[in-house]
Amino acid sequence: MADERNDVLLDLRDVRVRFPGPKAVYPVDGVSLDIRPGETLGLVGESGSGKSMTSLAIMGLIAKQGGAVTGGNIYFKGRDLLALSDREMMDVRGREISMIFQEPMTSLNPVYTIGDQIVEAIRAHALPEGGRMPKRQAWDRAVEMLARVGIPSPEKRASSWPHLLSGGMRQRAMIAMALSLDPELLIADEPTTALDVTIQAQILELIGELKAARRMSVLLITHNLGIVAEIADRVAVMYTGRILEIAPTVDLFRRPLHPYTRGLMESIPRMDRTVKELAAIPGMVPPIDALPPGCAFSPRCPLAEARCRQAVPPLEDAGNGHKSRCLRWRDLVADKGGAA
Amino acid sequence: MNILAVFARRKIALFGLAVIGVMLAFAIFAPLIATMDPQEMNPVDKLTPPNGIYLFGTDNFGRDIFSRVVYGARASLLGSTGVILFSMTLGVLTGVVAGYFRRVEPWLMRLVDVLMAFPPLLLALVLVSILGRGMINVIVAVGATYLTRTTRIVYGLTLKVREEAYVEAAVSSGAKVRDIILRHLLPNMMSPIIVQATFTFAFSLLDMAALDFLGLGIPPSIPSWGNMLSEGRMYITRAPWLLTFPGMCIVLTVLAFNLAGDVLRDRLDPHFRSRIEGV
Amino acid sequence: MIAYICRRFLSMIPSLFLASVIVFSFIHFIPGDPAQVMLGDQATPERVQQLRESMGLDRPLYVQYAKWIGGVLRGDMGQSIFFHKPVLDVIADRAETSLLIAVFSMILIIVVGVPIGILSAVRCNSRLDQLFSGASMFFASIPTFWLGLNLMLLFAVTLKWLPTSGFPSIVESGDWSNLRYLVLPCITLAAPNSALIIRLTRSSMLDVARADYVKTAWAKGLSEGSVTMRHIFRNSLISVVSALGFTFVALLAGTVVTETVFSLPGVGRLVVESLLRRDYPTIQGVILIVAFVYMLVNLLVDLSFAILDPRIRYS
Repeated sequence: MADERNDVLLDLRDVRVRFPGPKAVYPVDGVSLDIRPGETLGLVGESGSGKSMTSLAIMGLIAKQGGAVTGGNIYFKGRDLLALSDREMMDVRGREISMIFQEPMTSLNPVYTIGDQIVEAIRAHALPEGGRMPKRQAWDRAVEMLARVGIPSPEKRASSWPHLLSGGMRQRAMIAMALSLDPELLIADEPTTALDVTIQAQILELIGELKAARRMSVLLITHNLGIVAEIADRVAVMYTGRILEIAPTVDLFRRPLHPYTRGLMESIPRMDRTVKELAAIPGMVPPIDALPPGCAFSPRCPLAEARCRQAVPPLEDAGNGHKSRCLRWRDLVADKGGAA
Repeated sequence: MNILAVFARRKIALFGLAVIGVMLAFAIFAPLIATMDPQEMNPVDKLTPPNGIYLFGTDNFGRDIFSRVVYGARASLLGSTGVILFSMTLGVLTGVVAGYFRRVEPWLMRLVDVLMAFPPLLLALVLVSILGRGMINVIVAVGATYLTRTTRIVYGLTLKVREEAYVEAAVSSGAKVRDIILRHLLPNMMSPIIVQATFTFAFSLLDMAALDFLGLGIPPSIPSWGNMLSEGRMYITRAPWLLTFPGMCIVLTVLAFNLAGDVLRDRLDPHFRSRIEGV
Repeated sequence: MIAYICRRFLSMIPSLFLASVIVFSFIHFIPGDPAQVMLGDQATPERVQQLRESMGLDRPLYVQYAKWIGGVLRGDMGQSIFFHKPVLDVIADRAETSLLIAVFSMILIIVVGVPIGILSAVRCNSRLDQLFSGASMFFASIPTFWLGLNLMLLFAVTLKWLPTSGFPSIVESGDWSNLRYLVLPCITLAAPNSALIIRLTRSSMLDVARADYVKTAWAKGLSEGSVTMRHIFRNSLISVVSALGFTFVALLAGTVVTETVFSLPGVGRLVVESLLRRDYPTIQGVILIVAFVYMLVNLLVDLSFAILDPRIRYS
């Protein structure tokens, strides 16, 4: 097939997701991004930007939500996931690509013990030589994983029910479960949003350690720029289903080349400056079924021109792995903005 | 929100509405629609199958079944309306009181729980024995069995709505209890209550027909679908049409209300959906 | 856990007392005099009064209640005025029929209702689901007596496959083929109740399917069967078991109509007949026992929640 790159683990090309309704909507509208082995890609955006949908598309779970992937390819280790059968995709989930979610309090089944749920994840996938891992062995592996994520007394915890653990512990258990089969890609959808700040730091640190130890890639979805600055190698910024900017992290923060990204950074309160008012991006995110013509951000953009409204701007290469969907990105190169 | 538009989305619901319309027409315009006097006996023509004159045939007394069915709609619709008025007003009252006033709550709910330990039909039977036969008594008897169920449901709803932020806001701004109930609690419980009323209408119709069938409901002098089935039972082999038409009417009417309740419930906040006892 | 069970049992006692008071008062509000009913219209007032005194009907109500409840606590529910036998015996005679009907109907309901409910939820909004929904709604709207009569007309009268009415005892005759007398009544009862269970199972499962842990289950790569049964259905069990418990009790004593249609010697008909005959002790006895069974079943259902949901165990 076309130029599937071998140095890339996950390669999304122009992926589109459609949801039917009185008016069909496209929560993911032509998204292209790639993740290399061992790298952490941060996917940033406000609620409704399509970041969670993108992750569900990668996992093949869009149909479960009532939608369909209508365009593009998702190459993972050379195979197009969209071309796989249900059975094949089922095998990929949990084994090659794992996902953890936002709400640890409700993401674990309340009627089974933690250990049982991890064992279930392990035994759902056949061993390379055929057959399933024996229960005893799977249980041991579950305990081992719980220890690996820093849960004290892992044997006891494995026999506990989820409701007896704190939020932070549950999220660790979720991570243990997700990594139990050594996936090459971990998708973390807002993993720390529901946790206390101190626990947040611990969880992020944990993900970082595990990733380094296993040479795993991470797709970190969040609306929090601070987190992304800490642990992502590259960042993609999403808005109304499209990627507006993608760049190595340091580059993005030092020299954002899209007015939206700038707006996001400027609205972060800073301790080293005194300001009269908190800066906010004027206007509101347009509803997905009523997008403005051309660049979806143009109504709120200080740099908008007539040509911005004519057609959706393409993602242009600004050099050094930095891409922007703003027609006027060159004007921003000169202007010293950003959060560095 | 346009009710008609809601119903139009599901074709089958329109069918239900049509049935309800027909039955309402029967009930209200009975003297105009019925072809004959429902009580008039023509012993000569007894037990004739449906034909040109007697659209649904005649019964063992030679009475026109079509006319009796039309008039029967009155009894059934009136009865069910009475039941929902009775059980819903009292049920909402007691449910809200139990849910809002903590002091009363344990006693009231224990009483309700105990009353619900008796199978509804048996309870209705006992009440009819005490009160005697007749439309009002049947309404009260059957209404009482739905009263407890409604109280339970409204109690549950009140508990839920009571915890909402706007109620807390009203309480802390010193609103009077009466205002809180009337302006915050009740309006937010209206939709599930209306849906519940629809289902109660449907099921109470079945219950009252059952009482009639047992000979313990409306006196036989008033034509009702249940009574007709009770009388026609003996002729099941000779003249099955005695049973078909009143039976179909019951089924269609109950089905129509169940459909309506279902459609209305689909529009409800999932919050409330699980609290409704329906089909 | 044991403490929880004990507490629940103990809390049943005041409820039972309340129930007995309610039963007693209701019955004694029924107009009409049992003595008069027994002796008929021809009896002289003196004879009626004599009979009343001998039955203890002239004593004040609270005395009568005390006598009755005292007896109940000793296991004696009094004598049936009509049958001249202990009430417990009268009820025992009818218990066989009602128990068998309840049990077999329940089996039908569970076997038909639950799987169809699950299937409807899994294939939500498909043709199959719409078909089942329509059928459920239809069967939930049919009056049991009409369904019974029609079934009787078709299977017993026209096709002559099954008997029309009555039920010779199995316990006495030892003849299990007598179960065929219960086939039509059980189907009649199972139909509307299955419909309700189908709807309930379906909606319960659809609610649970939206939970976060179900998303996790899919993300783990579990098969559709695993997710459906081990995660969705397992967490819907509480609602389903609750509804089934309620259904069972309704089947025990609320089947008056079906018993009437098929002329079955069950508990429901006993109540109706006793009401007409003003046989106070029997009515009281039956209703009290039914209330007791209801509370017991409720208790068992609640206890099952503790087994089904670990979060409930520690309260």
